[in-house]
Amino acid sequence: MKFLQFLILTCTVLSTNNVLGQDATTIMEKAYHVARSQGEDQKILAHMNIQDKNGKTTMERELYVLRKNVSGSENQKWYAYFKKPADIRKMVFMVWKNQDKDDDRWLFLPAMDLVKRLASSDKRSSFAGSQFFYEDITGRYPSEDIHNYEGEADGNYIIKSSPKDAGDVEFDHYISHIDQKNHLINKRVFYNSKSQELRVYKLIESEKIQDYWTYKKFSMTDMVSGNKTITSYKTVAYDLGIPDDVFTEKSLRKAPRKWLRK
Amino acid sequence: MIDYAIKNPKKVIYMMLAFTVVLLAFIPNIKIDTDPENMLSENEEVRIKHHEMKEKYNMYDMIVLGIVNDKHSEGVFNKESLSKVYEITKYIQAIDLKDKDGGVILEDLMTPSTVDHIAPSTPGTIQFDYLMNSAPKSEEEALLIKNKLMDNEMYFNTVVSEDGKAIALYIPISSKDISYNISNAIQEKVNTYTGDEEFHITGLPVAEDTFGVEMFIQMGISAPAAMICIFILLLVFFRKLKLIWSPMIVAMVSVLCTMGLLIATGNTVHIMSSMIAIFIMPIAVLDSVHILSEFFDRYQENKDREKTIRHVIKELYKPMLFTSLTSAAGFASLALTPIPPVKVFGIFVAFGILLAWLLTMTFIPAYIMLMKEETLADFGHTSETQRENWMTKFLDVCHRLVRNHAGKIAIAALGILIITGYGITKIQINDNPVNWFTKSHPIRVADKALNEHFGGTYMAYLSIESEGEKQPFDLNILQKGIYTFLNNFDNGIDLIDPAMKIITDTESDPNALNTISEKMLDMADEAESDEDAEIWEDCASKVELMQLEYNQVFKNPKTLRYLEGLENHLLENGGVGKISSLPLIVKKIYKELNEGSENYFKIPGTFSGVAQSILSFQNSHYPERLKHFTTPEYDGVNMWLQLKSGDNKEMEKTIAALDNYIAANPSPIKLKYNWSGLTYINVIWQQKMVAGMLDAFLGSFLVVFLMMALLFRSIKWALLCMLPLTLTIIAIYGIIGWIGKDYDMPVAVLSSLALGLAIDFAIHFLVRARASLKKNITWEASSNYMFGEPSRAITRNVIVIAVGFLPLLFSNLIPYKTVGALLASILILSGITTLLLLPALIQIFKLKK
Repeated sequence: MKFLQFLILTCTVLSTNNVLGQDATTIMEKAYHVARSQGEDQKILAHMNIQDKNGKTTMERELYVLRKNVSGSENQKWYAYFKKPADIRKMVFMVWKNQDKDDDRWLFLPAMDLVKRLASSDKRSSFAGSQFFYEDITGRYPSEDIHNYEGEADGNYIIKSSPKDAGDVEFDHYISHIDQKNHLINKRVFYNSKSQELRVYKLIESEKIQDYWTYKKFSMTDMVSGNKTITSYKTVAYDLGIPDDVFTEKSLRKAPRKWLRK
Repeated sequence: MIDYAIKNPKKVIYMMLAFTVVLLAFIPNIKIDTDPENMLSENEEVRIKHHEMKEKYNMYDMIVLGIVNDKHSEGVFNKESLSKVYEITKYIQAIDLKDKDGGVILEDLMTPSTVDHIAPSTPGTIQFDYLMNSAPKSEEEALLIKNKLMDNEMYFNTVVSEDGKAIALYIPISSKDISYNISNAIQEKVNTYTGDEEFHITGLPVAEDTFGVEMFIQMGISAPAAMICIFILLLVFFRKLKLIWSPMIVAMVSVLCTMGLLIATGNTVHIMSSMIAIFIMPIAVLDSVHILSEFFDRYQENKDREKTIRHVIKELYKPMLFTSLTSAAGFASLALTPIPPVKVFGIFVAFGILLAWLLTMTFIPAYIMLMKEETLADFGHTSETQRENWMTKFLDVCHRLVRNHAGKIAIAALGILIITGYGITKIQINDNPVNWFTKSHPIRVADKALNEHFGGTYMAYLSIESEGEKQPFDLNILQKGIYTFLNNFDNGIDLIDPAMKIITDTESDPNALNTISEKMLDMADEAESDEDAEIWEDCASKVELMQLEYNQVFKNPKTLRYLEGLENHLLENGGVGKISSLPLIVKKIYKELNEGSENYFKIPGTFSGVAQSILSFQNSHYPERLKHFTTPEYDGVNMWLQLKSGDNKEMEKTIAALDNYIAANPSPIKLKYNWSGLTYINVIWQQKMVAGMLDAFLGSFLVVFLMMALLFRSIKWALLCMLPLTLTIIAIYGIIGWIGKDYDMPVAVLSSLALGLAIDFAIHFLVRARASLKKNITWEASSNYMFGEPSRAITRNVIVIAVGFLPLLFSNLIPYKTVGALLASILILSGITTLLLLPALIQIFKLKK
């Protein structure tokens, strides 16, 4: 009798773990979808406020971000056009995000009329001096990490993720707080191997736009230096029918003006 | 007072003990301050500026860990050594000073594994990669790391040595006072390694902090060792153990009470004040030795201690009072210097001297009174016998010299004066905290090894700001510019009218440019066609760039090229081995954006070109490191200079090089320059100190002279009395000039010690010479007496103190050695001058009373 009880208990524990383990990945995939790939395409006018550890604004940037999903795959194309300040105006950062191989990435520097391919190894370096990494802009595929369900708190799923290829990234693991209602990531903390905080991401404001839950304002703090970037989306629109030729090398030098206006 | 002491010896001793115990009670509150920055008052402008700049550009003091491998043909660029470098970096990142606040500033750690490699990985690309992401797995990988470092102008001569054999890790720390702890922690790790690598820890904060720590160790060794030496010598001279305890007690009590009072009054024990003990001790013993010496020579005459002591004190009272007053005045004059620790030092040494005098006047008689007459039975001269024969012989020689060759002595003195006087003009004012250590000290060794390999481990910072006086923009020029621009496009012509209107509308707007560009951007959003939108955006860019060029002056290629010229000038003409700066970063990135071609290692031609090079740098893993080199507003920049040597001379050379460049090359905009950094601060406090010391010295020279005039009531005798001291000081500083020893902090402070000590013998000699002249009428008779007991007392004092301070010569710290050597020289020189020159002059000029 006791043995049976034990067996049932063990099975229950194992199966719960198993189900939740799968759940963790599913939750992360949903969260990724909400954050990065809702609709066919998206246009954002984003404002970045970069602050030092005393909260003093040191840099500001404004950029248009265009994103289009490649149909029939998880691949995406991104086009980011720097609008402000004037001395970096017309700079363009473009990414072809590939799930099965390294991303293709370009940078256009108008002052020198230079198009540079960016090496794939530096996805996790700073995006234009902010605390966001390049990868934070276009999103990290959930398939690159192993996810573990850790529990829930204040209406959030708590999920711990560890990289499959630890040599590829500067963190040891990260913990995400994902809203149970809409799968928005309310908080994400990156840790080193000694469980010290490296970077902390926080969602500040969200809004439902065209039926999609949308991030409106969020911050990333570098816990080592204390610097912080607050990104606010001034305008967001989905499903505009942005054509493919926007995301080509040709439009690096000749910006697709139509899509870079209010 | 003396009478009271003789009558109530026990009471006097109890009072002294009580006084001492009270002050001793404060000693546990001791606060140690090893920060040489405190040589300057906290309100000192250079210090305030230094901290302002540190804050503004997020700078920290740095420890440098150099790793050298002379055995391997590629130096440290082999698998083994680099693995250690990688491991140490990890270790440094994890250092945790549990009992202290602060630690290593992790985000600014500059090591091969915490910097980016920036280069085109293949044509047409640009790559930002951690330079050494993991320990190399093969020798080839190790060489690859070497090449990456050598090719990077930002790390060349900083992280990697010029010869490509050594690596230096730059470890910023939150405050100077933990540099000793951090460097110890690193040393512990390094000690676990065996192999061909040498590890050197250096940097000014380490040198200064280590000096502080060693200084207190030395204080615990040197001061007691000096006491023991003096004790042994007194024993040799007076051969009465019980009696010679008394001067030792006087010295001890004076030192302890002074230190107690120093702490009780809330002063910190600084590098300077730690030397108080060593300065008070010889002077405290001095008076007692005179008393004992006289007592020793007289006691056997009547075998009555009370009578003898009364007689001795009567005879010595005046010279002892005046010698103490003059010494105290010499030190008290240091209160006139602008350097707080030197002020404190001067005041408390003066206090200690006066206390020692008081104790000598009360405690010594009381102590002698408490001794049994029997213990003294065999004390002192019964006849001219035994060991001290040599002293008598020596004094006889002196006496004969004076009698027969007085003229020659005077001429010789004049000769010495002229030769050494010329030497003073050759004095080199220079100091370098690293040179406070002996050559074999690990810090000196590290300093030598690293500065041989690298651009330099001494940091100075030059911050440059624009003095942008706001002048109104000429909207007419802007209008013309926009007009010409729009005229270039077919669609543009239609936009001229609305554009001109936007500009004229803002005529009275103080923020005109901003308003205009915002309006033009709005026009771009609302434009009918995409072409018009682009034209409006370009118009807005033109206006905004005008504003940016005006505000962000250090993105302007003209300004950057001016700075580039300045850097080259400093590298060629200053003591600088390497300069890291905004122009260097911009040039490096511009080069790498252009396929790494050396032709592009230059400042880009346009403002936007500079801005986009900077933004490219910010795409790296360490974008925030820019903050050390420029303000976020680009209205100020900061250059990090690595100097080859911590010598003040090198820093002064660099300052002069800047001034020359500014004078010869007008800058495109008005700029103001400001130096900071520990190397620079050292120069400033030293300049202040040298000037302050000279004032203090001249001031106290005058005061001492007036005292002498008062004592002798004769200008003639006062002048004579000043002679040995003048000659001694000129000779000592002349010799320092001739042998090329740097005039540094301890040497400067010694001028006041010389003043105080050198006059003592002259006072004793002349007061007693005059007294005997009154009795004996002829100098012939007087001189026989003077070369007897009075000269013996002087000779004993010279020997006791000079030899007593020999232990200082064995110190690990050069300032202590200097003090030891100079102290002995001062005493011997002034002693000889007193014994030869003074009687010679009295004889020549036939001086009477």
